[in-house]
Amino acid sequence: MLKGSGIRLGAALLALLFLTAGNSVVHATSVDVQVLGPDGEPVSEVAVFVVAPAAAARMSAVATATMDQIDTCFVPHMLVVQKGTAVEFPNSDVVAHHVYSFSKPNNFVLPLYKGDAHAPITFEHAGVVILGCNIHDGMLGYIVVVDSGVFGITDVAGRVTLELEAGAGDYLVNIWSPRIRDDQESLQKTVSRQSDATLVFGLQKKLRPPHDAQSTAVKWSEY
Amino acid sequence: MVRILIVVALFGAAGVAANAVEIAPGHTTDIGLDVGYIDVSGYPSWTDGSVGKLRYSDDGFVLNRAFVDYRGRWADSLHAHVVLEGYDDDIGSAIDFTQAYLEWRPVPRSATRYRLKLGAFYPRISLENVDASWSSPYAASSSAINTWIAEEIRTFGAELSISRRPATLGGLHAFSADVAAFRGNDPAGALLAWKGW
Repeated sequence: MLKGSGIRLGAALLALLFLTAGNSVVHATSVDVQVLGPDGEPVSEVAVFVVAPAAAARMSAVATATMDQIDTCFVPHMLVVQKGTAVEFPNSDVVAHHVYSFSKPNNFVLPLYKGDAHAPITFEHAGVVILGCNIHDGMLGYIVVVDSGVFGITDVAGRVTLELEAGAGDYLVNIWSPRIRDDQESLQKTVSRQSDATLVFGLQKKLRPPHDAQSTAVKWSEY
Repeated sequence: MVRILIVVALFGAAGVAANAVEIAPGHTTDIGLDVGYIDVSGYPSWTDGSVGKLRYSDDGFVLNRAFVDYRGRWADSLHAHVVLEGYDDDIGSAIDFTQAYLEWRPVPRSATRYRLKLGAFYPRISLENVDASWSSPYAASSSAINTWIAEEIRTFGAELSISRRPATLGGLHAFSADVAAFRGNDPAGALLAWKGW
């Protein structure tokens, strides 16, 4: 199995090389995105992704992604993937998990018992997938499935830079985070891809507090 | 008045669920043995009909408790939990089940979660007694309120727990309502009247 994934990784790297070689001819435009809260403070861990027109979106080179379970937490807390990506749930914990999502139409149930093989979950629909564990009620995670190969997550400075192939036409930049309470319509900006752009999303509404695995994991006696 | 109480937990008693031994895939046991040396002076124990607060009147080594805590996954959404405990104190010795229940945990289809327990169990009430065999990982003995719950509020019946978790939508709080129907229980509060808090 390890050998198989090694070959797959090799193939992906090779594909990446070809893509890079192809891109060296076409100039890429970059878009700098920054997300600021109503207080002007940068907001990290925000998903940023380019949506329609589809032609603007470069295909992602990585066809698999990983949402791990470590110390009864989903790691990463939020994962952004392209539609059609197979997401592995390896379960690095000693204990069993029973992962589910009720977010239609991407809902699924996946028991993660030790020693039992399980296939990755392929998300075929764009949207936010809220993850939970039916054994550990405090576990919470998000998979943001986007109809695009161009996406990223803001850093501690609230910034992320996305690269696009240059060409005619506009593209739409969207942001999403479970902490953001602003209307989703106000979180979309249209940018021409003729030249590099800098976008600042200034949020109007106060953010929800960040997820605290400790506070939601408060355990009532189950013994 | 000198009162010394030395309790030595040999193993298991202070363990957490992760220390449980997996006996088969999906089935774990946690075994605990709690022995102590008692050197007590003061009033004889309430177990002898006196007003002493402690469980023992005589000095020497004692077996506070021994337990086997079993948890099993019988199906994806059906879990079993059985606790067998042994005591030997001034009231007498006993081996008995303190908990034995089945819990059905259907996979949620919305932010509302349902849990159904059937059997003998403690109410989901304590933030302190969260260790194997409903013991406290923070102290050698149960607090007054948990002692009372253990003696009088442990039910034999069914409990339906409904919780709504807006946390999935980014909120901070979760709300939960537990409804239980039970039988064969003393009127809760009688023990408080007899022994005090």
